[in-house]
Amino acid sequence: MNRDQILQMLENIDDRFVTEAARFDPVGRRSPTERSRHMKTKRIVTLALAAALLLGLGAVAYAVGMSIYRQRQEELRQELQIDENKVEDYVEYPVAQEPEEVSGSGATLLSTMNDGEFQRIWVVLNGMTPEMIQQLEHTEQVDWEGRKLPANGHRYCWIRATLDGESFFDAMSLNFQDGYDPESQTLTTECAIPLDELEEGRKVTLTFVMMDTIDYEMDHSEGELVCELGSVEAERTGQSIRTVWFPEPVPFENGAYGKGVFLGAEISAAGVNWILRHDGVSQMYRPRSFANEEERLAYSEMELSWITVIEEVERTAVLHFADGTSREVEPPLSSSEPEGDTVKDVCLFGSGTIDPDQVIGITIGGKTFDLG
Amino acid sequence: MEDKQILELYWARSEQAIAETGRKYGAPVRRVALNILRDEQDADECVNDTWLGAWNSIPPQRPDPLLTYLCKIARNAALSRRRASLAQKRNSSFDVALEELEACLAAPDSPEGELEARDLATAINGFLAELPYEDRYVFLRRYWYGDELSRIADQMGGHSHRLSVRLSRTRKKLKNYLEKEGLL
Repeated sequence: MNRDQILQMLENIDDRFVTEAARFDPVGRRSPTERSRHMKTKRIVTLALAAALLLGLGAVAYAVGMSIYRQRQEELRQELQIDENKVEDYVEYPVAQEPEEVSGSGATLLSTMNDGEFQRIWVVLNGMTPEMIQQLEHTEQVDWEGRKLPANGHRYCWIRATLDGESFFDAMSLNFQDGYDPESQTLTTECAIPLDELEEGRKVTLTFVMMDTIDYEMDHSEGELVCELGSVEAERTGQSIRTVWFPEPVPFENGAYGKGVFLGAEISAAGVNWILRHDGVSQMYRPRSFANEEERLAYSEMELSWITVIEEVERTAVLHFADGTSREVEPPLSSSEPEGDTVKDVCLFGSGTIDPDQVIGITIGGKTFDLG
Repeated sequence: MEDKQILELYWARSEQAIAETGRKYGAPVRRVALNILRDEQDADECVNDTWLGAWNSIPPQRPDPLLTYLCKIARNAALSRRRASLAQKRNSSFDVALEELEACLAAPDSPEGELEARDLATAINGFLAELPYEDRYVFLRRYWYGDELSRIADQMGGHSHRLSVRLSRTRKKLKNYLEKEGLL
C-alpha cells in the first residue's frame, strides 16, 4: 500500500468515527444515562473480549456427559496451551461436571490468569437465548419509540460489566458465533481488567449486564439496562517471571538524542518485558507541562525519535526454545514507569502461552544470546 | 450558540454565521490544518478556506454534526495545500504519522493501484468498528486529525510513550486486518 492509498483509506473513514474522536470522552462514551437503573461510575476499566481466543472454542468435540463449563475449560486449556507449557499462573475454578448441573441463568467463572498487564477472566454467561444473541449482533437506525435516528446515530445492544457495581467495562468485538452455544444457551466470554485497577488482595464482584444503547452523536447517548446477566467473584492472581540478564548489554543509537541499551528480559508464560535504559528516560517520563508550543513540539520530536528507535530493535526480537522452535515477540503494549533510569517495555503474546523455562536463547538487536 | 442556530444563520445567508462558526469551532479546525501544514500562516489561510467552503455549501447541506463537517473541509483544504506546495518537506506531525502507517503497511507485492476506494472504505471502517473506544480514539487523532502523541496523551491523561506502544499494536492489527481482507 502506498502513501496515496493510505490517504485514500483515511479519507474514507466514516463520519461517525471522526465525530466520535472530536474530543476524548470515555465517560460519555461508556456511561450512558440508564433509565431503568442507576449505576454510579467512578472509574473506568477496560473489558477486552478476546475474539481471537474465542475463535478456537467449539473446535474440540468432547464426550457426551460433560457440562458446557467443563467443555469450555478444556477448550481454553488447549487454546492457551496450558498443559503443554505447564502454566502455573493459569487458575481454573471448580465447575459443574455433568450437563444436568448447568444452571438456567447467572454467570459461571471458568478461569483466570495474570498476564502482567491484565487480569484475564473467562466466564460463561448462562440463559442467553438466541433472541438475545441476535439483539447483540444487531444495529438499528431507530430509537426506542421507532423514530428514525439522525445520520450519525445508531442503536445497539452490548454486554458490559461493572466492578463492584462502580467501574464500567466496555464490551468490544465479541465473536458471538463461536462463543455461543445455542443448545445450552450459554455465551463464553473473556474480560481483562488492567492490573492497576485491581490491587492485590482485593476481591471484586464482576456483574455482567446487557445494555440497549443509542448513540445520537458524539456528545449524546442514552442507555437502558435490558437485564442483568450474572455475577462472578474475581481477584488478582500471581505471575511467575523468569528474569534473564544479557551477558552484555545490547546497544542501540538514536542519532539525534543519544544512546541506549537493552539489559535483559522478564519472561512469563504470557509475554516478555524488555528491560532497557536510554538517554531519553529522564525527559520522557517527567511530568508533562510545557512552557509554550515550541517546547511541546521539541518534546514530541524527541519522544517520537526514541520510540521509533526502540521499537525497531524490539520488532526484530525472537525467542528460541529447547525443542528447536522459535517465536517472534509482539510489539510492546505498554511501558512501565521508570525505576531509576531503567524502564520495561511490556510485550504480550496475544494468543497462546509459552514455558519460560524452555527458552534457551534470545535474539535481539542482531545478537543471539544463549540462555542455557 | 447551538449548531442548529448557526445553521439557521447560514441558511438565512447571514454573515454572522461565519463569525459564530469561527467563535465556536475556530480552534479545533485550525488545529487540524496546523497539524497537516505546520505553518501558522498556511493554517490561517486554510481556516479561511474552510469558512468559505462552509458558506458555499450550506445550504443546501445541513451538516450534523457541524464540527465533523468543518474538520473534513479543513483537512481536505490542508491536504490540497500540502500537495500543491512543491517545497513542502517532511516537517509536519501529519507527515510523521503517515510515515508510521507507511512503515507498517508497505507491501511490495500488493496490487498497487488496483485497490478500490470502496474496498478500502469497507476495510478501514470495519477495522475501526472492532477497536475498543480508546484505541479508536488514538488512531483517529493520530492519523485523521494528525495530532502529536504528546497532545493525545494530554487529552487522555498518561504518558505518550505508553500511548505509542498502544498505537504500534493498533497498526499491527490494522496490517493483519488488511492482509486478511486481501488488501495487502
